[in-house]
Amino acid sequence: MTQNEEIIEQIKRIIQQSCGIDPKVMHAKSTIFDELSIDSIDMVDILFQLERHYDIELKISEIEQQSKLEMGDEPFEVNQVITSKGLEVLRRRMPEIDPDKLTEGLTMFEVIKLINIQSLANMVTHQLAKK
Amino acid sequence: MNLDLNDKVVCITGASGGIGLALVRAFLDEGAIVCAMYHRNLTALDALRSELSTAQQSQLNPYQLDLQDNNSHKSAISAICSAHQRIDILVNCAGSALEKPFLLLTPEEIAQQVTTNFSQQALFTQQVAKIMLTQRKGSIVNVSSLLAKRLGRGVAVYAAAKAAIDRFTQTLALEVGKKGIRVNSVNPGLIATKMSKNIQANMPPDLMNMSPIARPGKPEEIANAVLFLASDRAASYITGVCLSVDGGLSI
Repeated sequence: MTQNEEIIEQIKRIIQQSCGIDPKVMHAKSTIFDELSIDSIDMVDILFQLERHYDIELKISEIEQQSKLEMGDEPFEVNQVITSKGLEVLRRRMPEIDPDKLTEGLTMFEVIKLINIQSLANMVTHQLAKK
Repeated sequence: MNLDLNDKVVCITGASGGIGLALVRAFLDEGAIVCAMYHRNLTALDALRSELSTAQQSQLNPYQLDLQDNNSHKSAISAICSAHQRIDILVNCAGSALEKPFLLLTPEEIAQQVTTNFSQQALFTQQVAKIMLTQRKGSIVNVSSLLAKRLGRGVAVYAAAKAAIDRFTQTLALEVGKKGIRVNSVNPGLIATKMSKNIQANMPPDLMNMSPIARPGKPEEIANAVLFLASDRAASYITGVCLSVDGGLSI
């Protein structure tokens, strides 16, 4: 089993514990909020459990912060709508999300809704690499 | 009824105040392990300690907490968790009322009243709720005020901050209920404490006679309501409630 597969299995276990969802219905591409119907407090719970398990810090907001940092002076969003350049950065930073879903007119709130189990695994991997 | 509070770890902010001391006493009488959070005044807690039995003295653990300092929140909570491994109950009792006409308040005084009576409680609660989330269990009781609902001449910002506490109680209850955490508040009316003296000065003189129970409340009567709401046995199906304990003044 690769490290990525192990992390995904761990995330599934945590989601099962926290939300009672059968791991058999979870896949790497299952979106957290829409497909698995996990709400914000469950998400907080899942992040806390991952933080404790791996001894790391996880912040969903980091996706936005890191993207903005990468763009320097270029605007990431205008009136809360992500710019074309911003979407390009997100497509590169979040390859686990179907690029067709990162379309013009999206807000960051809508991008968060696209986060799937693989996104969480990538965040964990990223933080583990920093340790 | 046995409230099943024996050996429950209870964290009480503002523990050295009038209602706070009554809370400490009431939880100790129920056999709870009381983490009494005080800022400057340890004397009142020491005086209380001298009245306790040896067994109760060992259950009373004062912790210094500066609610204005987030690092102090973290270190106090970390100390409690190291010593007791959990926090079962949080009672947010810290607060202070500044009695002064609204039009004379300085910007600093307005900010201070909001911070002291709302923001600091929210920030401290956030830290404790993280612990409760991992436990899948917890009970939070906020000490609000009758002034959140009515009266309040001379304490406009304090009353507004207490109203914020009430809505905070209800909305937090919505958010954390499914994780086994209940959130309630009590709204004391006129209680015979030092802090309420100034507030009472601006109230109608015949107010007491207008209330069904025509006398000021005692701190112990607030503590009893908090015990009830805090108890998972007595109030297991109660969350998001702002319970008036005011002798009927809010009717």
